Amino acid sequence: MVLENISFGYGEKRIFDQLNVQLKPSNIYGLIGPNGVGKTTLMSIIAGIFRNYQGKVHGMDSPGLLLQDIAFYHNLSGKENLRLFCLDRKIDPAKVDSALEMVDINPHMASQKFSVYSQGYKQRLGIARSFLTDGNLVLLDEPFTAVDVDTTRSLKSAILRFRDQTQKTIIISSHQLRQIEDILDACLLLKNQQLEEHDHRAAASQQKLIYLSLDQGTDSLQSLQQCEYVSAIIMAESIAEIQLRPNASLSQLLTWLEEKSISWNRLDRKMPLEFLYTQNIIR
Amino acid sequence: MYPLYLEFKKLNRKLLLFVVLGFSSIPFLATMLFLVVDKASFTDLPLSLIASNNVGTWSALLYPLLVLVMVQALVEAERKAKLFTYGRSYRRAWFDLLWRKAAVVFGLLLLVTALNLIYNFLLLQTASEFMEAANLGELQRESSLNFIALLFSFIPLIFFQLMLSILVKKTGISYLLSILLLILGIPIANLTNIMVNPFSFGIAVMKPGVGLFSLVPIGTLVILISIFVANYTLKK
Repeated sequence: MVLENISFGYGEKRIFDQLNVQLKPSNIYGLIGPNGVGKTTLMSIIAGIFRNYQGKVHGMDSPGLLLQDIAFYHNLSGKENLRLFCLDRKIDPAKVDSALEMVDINPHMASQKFSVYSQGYKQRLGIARSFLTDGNLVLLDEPFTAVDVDTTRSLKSAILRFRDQTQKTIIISSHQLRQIEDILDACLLLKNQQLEEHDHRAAASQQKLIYLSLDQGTDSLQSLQQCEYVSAIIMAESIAEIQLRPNASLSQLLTWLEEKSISWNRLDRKMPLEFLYTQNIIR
Repeated sequence: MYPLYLEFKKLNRKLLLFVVLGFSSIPFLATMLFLVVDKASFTDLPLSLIASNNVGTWSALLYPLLVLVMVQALVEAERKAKLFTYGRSYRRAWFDLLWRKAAVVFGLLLLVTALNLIYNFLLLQTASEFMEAANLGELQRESSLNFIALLFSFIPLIFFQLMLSILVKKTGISYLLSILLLILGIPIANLTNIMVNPFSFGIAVMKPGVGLFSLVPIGTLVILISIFVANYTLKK
């Protein structure tokens, strides 16, 4: 699956310029970037909705698709909506039941009209539709918008199950970086009309590297720079990437933070997407 | 048949009820009421007057309005469900969808026409008791055939209105344009033999010397152009 020299713009405004990327099978990618950078536009190009672009899209025919503002036929039930979609796309309608089951829509709910669905169920149905594809790629644009924590957890596990069962590649575009980072294999960063692939999990292999989300940014940074257990610090907003000295341990650092009354609210061994985003986009 | 059933189901049930009753039973009941209330004014007048007036309302106004309302409702259902966006990701042609929509509207026209045939029969039967009719049977047959001719004459309009509703994304403007064409069509079709406006095909069918079969070439052309333009617009 390759995007080769993709260029696209709205009128005079250039959105992509010679953008290239190659996607690996069975990977879950996070597509991140600030508002208006072209995430939805890129998904629309891959999905075939926008066709007036330059360049080539290889091996991404007929992807499953979830767009923002989920829409279905209000007077049809969830199941009927999916069956009609299958008939339109010449997909075996027998797949509908397993797609509904995967996103935890029970038969009773599936037989209800779409107009009575809550936002959470709308998202579930939208994701179920995106799973009903013969293509090797699924595009999910803001799949966790306006849904509660339980629904997000359930949808994330559905996405992982789907990937494991089908070996399809999934691209998730989301602003809720913390919500998606744990299911991603890699990250696609959109900036300067280009797409950069980052393996934000690679840092996990470096045992002495940790990410600390601090409560007080600058003051804490100055204190941390004097810490005997720390060899290097990179700050991105309130998140510090801390390289521990070879002979220092994490527990020593945490004790030191406690003694110095430096409060923190999250500790990661893997690079948080927010850190990657702040470093590459905001700076 | 299942996709066609779902096409019907996409529509609001209240709208369907309004269409079926509003475009058949209510005009019939209103006409019956006038006949009963003002019976004296109609007594001994020729029954053909009622027959031609009844069909006339349908040919000029009610059938085109029915097509307009139904097509707009069908296209709006697609817009709300964003099919025109989603569909672009996997569709290369939209002919099957256009045919399905046309079949739904024609199905409703067929239902309304069937009701109208029954109501028209009852109306003429009732009015014949105090109005003049040389041959009631012949009048019944003639006006029934007129209703059937009207049904077929509006097939091109179904496709034309589909095209217009797809081309013009704002519902209000689409309605306005259609109503303008409908209103403009009435005097043109009445006073001339220029038959290009599908909103006036019903009037044309009723005109002496025109008839249903003479509309076949222009009607076919309207259908083909409408399908082509609608398909092109959706693919673009």
